[in-house]
Amino acid sequence: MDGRRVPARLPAALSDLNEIFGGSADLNTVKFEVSGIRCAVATLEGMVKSADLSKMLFEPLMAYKKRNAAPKDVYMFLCDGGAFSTEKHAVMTLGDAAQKLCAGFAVVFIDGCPRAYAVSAQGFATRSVSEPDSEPNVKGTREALSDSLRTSMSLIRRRIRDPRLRFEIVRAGKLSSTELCMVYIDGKTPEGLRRKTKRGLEKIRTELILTSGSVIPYMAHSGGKFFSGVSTTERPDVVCSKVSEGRIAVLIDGVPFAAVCPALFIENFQTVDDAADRPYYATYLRWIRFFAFFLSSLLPGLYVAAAIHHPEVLSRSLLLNLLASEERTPYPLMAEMLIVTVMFEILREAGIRLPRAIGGAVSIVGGLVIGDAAVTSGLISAPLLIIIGITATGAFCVPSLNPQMTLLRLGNILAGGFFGFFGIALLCTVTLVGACTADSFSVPYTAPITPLTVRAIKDVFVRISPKHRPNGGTVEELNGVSEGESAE
Amino acid sequence: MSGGQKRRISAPQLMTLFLLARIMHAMIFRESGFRSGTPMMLALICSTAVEAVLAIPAVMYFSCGGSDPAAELFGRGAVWLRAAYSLYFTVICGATVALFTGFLESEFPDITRPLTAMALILLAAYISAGGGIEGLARAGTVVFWLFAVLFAAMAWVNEGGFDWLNVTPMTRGDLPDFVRYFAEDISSSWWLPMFCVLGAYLRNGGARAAYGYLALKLITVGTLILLVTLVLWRYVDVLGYPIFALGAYARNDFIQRFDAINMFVWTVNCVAAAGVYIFISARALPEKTSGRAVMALAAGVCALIVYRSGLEFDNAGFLVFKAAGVLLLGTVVPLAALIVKKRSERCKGI
Repeated sequence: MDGRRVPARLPAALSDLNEIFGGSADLNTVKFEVSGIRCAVATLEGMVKSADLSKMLFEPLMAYKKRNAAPKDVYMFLCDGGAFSTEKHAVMTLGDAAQKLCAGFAVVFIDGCPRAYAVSAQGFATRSVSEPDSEPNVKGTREALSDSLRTSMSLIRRRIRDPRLRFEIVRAGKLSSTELCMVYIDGKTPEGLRRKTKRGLEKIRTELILTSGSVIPYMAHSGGKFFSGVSTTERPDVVCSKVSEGRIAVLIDGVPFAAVCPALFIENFQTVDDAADRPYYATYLRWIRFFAFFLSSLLPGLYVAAAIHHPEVLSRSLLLNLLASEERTPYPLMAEMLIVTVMFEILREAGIRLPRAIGGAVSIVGGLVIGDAAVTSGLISAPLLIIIGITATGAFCVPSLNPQMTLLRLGNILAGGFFGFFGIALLCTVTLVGACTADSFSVPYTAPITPLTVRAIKDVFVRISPKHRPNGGTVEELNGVSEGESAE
Repeated sequence: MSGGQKRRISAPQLMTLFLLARIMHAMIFRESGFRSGTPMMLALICSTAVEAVLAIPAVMYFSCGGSDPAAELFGRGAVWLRAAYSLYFTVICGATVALFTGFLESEFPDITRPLTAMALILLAAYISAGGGIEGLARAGTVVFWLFAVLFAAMAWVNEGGFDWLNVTPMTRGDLPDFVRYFAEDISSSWWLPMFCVLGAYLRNGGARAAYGYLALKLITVGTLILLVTLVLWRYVDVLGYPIFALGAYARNDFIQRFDAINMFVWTVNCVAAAGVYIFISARALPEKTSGRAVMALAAGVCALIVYRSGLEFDNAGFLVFKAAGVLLLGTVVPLAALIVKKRSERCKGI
């Protein structure tokens, strides 16, 4: 950052500023006189709202009249409430001025005054609050976090109207100088967790922060590599729920997702609608999600393993049906399963990347045309296509674990194909131990299942009515949270 | 085995690790002339009582605030004692993997070659041990519940009937069997040396872990013996692995035979148990060395030797090795450490 002091002479100040920005076309300067003193306001194109700036700054300045006014008088007028903005800062160096401009401030330079004054008038175009596309629900809020950090903060504040809710800003990214905002509730979040998260965010050395993926590695304190102790959400109600349980959420300016830590494995199976539905129905749906996860990860591998290595497991009629349909296909069963699995992933990826209008066509072409043609031509057996169909649908029930499910599915097909149930068991054990090893800030990822916390496990497999858990619980109360570490 | 390490596992978790190791041993137990019945049940009860006595020094040592019996006796070095623990568990790990491979080879010969199976199990155990004892202990709890569900499911759909005539009173002629099973069970109590090493990681409740395990073992293994006796009795001799044979009587509309499912759960347990053994063995080496890899390789060599030589856990030499380890590393060492600790505390008091 340029540490030179703001020159007292206005032309020099403007010239130096222009030099810092290298003559960038979006740097605007407006020159005018206030009680005979030459002033200039610098802004960056599109970063400030002209109408607001005019009302907040130009109108009061134009109305300011003083005989024999000195530059210091104009500066003091601005400091003493002459500008109506809620966020104002004295600017001492040129580097500071440049940074404020990049953040959407208007910077006022006064001829003869060796300092400038920054007035907040941000008015850049942002996307309006939209629906949470990646986490849709039936009965919950329709609002998603916004690209604008301030809007996201307000969405959270509106839901937790308590002064103990804290927003703490940290800047990160060498080039982007992005604002990251730690959200937590004072008194509920362990001080050690807050300090460690902040320390982690301050260590970010990347140049640009354009996604939550740039921040999460610095938040994940320790633990396994396959499962992450940090989750993401684009729902303000989920952020509120998590911080009320003693966690920390990190909002990123320009990213409509919050990163939340510590995250638990079982949370992948809980949705906002669980709280809205009747407990028995929500419990049923939660079990469906558990079942879908295991089905999606294991079913293709188990099918291949059973058909190739352990046909004795299957009932006679089922086995005969499978044999009859497999006899017509040219490829070995494992290769066939791998081909269909990879094809499905290609179609899914194409559906995501393509514009929505065309995305639907991909599923029609993939699902109906290719699928039907492949079965009719005898390239793929019908039971195998059913297996992949069930697997793919199951994966959509737990979208947050989709990367893990996809890789496990592929791994299980290979392990099952080569080594039968023995291979799948080996892979499952390594995955299980990996999940059990993962922790985030000393909170075990697999809690409260293992280590078992009886009072918390009630809300894992069964949806407990809020009447019976009015205050909820915090992650610190879970068994296995290393004493003295989270609260360090 | 520094005493300053963080105590990270709970008594029930340690208990579960002991139990999984014991179940693993029961699963791969294969003996010619096997006769389940009253002598075996009585031997189990007697050996559990003896184990309860043998555990007293270790329980007292950890209850007094001790964390590392080896360090207590020989200071920070204690190289030979650590090496003894390491060697003991490397052999146990190798033998477990080799005997499990033997089971795979005899019951599922088409799956893979024995050497590949051993290498894969040890590789998975090596990776699992990398997660530390916390991860293994947490995973162990899940594996334990997996077993519980499997046994419950097999019992639910079992077509075999209980024949109470199989339970015969013990006679003088059963005495050799009783002695054999007693010796076998006592020598399989390597949870005692395990306790001496893993006690350092225990948050609290050493006595709870030890005696809780013994109670759980009595119930679990007792139930299995009872089931095998009532359902199979002498047929075990024909069918081979006693617990595996139980699954032969279970079937429903979806699953015709439980063999492969049994093998699935056994494999999971084998990896978990081998992971714990490798973790314990690797603790003897300095932290900076790649101790885990070295110990996994050493266990691989042991497994190969055991596999090639066709040794079983009830082999006389093996029996002596296992029993010596249990007595020396699981009872004598903590007893000596307890005495040293008490003496030094008394000196400090003066």
